[in-house]
Amino acid sequence: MSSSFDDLLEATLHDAAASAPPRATDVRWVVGESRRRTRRRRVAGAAGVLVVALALFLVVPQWSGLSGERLQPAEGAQFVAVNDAPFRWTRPTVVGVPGGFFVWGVTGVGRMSSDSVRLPPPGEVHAALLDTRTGAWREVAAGPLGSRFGVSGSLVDGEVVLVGGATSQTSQDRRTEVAAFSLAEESWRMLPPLPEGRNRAQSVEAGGRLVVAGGGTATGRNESAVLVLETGGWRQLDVGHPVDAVLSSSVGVLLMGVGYGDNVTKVVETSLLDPGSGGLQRLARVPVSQKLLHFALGTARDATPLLGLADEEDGNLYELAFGTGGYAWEPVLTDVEGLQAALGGEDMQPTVGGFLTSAADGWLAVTGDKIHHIRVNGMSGQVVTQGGTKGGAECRISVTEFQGKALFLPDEYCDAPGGPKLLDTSGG
Amino acid sequence: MTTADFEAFVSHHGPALKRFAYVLCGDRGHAEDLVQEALVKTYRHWSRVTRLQRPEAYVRRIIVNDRHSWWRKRSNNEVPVPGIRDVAAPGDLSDGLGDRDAMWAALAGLPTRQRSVLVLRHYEQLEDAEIAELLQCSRSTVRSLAARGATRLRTALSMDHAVAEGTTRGRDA
Repeated sequence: MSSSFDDLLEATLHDAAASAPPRATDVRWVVGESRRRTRRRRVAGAAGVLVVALALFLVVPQWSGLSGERLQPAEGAQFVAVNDAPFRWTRPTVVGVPGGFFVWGVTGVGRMSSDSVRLPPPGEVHAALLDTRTGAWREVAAGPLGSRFGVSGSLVDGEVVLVGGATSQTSQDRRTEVAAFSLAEESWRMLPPLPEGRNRAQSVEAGGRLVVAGGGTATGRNESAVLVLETGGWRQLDVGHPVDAVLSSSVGVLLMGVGYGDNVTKVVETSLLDPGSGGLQRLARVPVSQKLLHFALGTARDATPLLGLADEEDGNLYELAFGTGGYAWEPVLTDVEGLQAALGGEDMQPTVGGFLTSAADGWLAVTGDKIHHIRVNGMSGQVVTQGGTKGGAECRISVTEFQGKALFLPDEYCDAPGGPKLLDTSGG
Repeated sequence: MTTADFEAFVSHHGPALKRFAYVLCGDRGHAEDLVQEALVKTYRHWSRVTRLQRPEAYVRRIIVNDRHSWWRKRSNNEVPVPGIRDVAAPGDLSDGLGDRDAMWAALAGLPTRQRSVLVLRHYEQLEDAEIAELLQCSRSTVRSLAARGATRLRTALSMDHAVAEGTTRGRDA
């Protein structure tokens, strides 16, 4: 055996290449063939081009302009017409609201860069409401937040509440402001600020309370604090393990926090939390084989909590089982091949840009370049797509489901033509 | 843009492109077809290609893309068979030659994209960002494909854990 796998692989490839002495290429044939093909193309003529263009316009699915012709909606779901958005936001905050979606974010940022010499311009913040019944957008006041990126949004008692964030994508200036947009009055009001600036947090309404967890603070990422907004200010709960990633309030009034899996522990911690009483119940760990990239949490129609994980090697789906020994995450689908087979996508990359969100009758899995249903409710997030890059930044499409409709919103870094897409998973 | 320029390009880069195509697909005849087809396409846009910083990278991308297209076009019942090379490699390869034969055979069993990523990493020595651009996918896709490909190779080779430990290396640019 070689001293290392990499060395053996490299030696094998170079050995093979060296063992294949190439024959000379007939350049004259190549040039002649290229010219013949060029002539054939010209013969096709402008009329043929027009016919093809018309055919493409008629048959290519609307979605194809967004991120690849292989994208297909899940069975029983269909894309419905929605107007182009009035803005092309950068990494926006999207919140499902009754009858539509609320989008808030910065525009006109241009190139995203980690290079401190070329920080992006601050950009302007815009907000708009999408009416999913008419497909129309309407701009609304952007509000008083000083943040531009990493703002968490949730719907709480008829208000869209935006939390924290930072002034730039590379800034350490994490913000404490919390603002609420009343959907009835279309006006903003400030809520008590966070105890500490928090960027890219998660927020959710649970038992009538706004709960914030995860994200980055000035004192370090993955803190164990969970914040509950109460009259007069924020109450801090300690779940005893790092909190990052996803929350769900769909199990009664309980908040389910999913912890952080890293390269050392390779586990995901989960907890059930009652934000009212502060009661906490630790749940079983979920093993993770590699660095965790994506995970999602939701509840099936039978109220069974489900956890979806996507790491660098696996695309797994777990179901929370209630047994005599307490809670345990039982694998439902546990490997790439199994998930691929279950979803029927040979080109699917469950772990790549893998993203799981909800749908009214199932779990909407956006996996690489395909969309599928599994059966869970209550999630949202982003998917990195092959929709192109712009200025070196990856195109991201935020995916948010609310009341059976999923909004796919490409951000400013998506080169591909086409605006937002609305997937109706309600079957009606 | 002249045919002479193109001939000089083919003369200079053709052998390396064919070696690349060979390690990519494992079949000499297909490798030559891939390169020939890529060159036909390249010549059609030669005036633009010459303005690129590395025209050979453009040809390489066509080869990779055509390789994937060709793979998809194959009939499902046509199974690639790991072949034994019939030309001895240069140098003293008595040490580890069996391992390389086994590795070459194992490579033949990899899915196309996994093999492409490993070849681009370990033969062309490209960074993940370059591979992602070439394959028009994200860097995480590249990492995933590489990890899965390496796992399959290791499984095929039944390598022991100590050897396998040396395989993952961070290439995230």
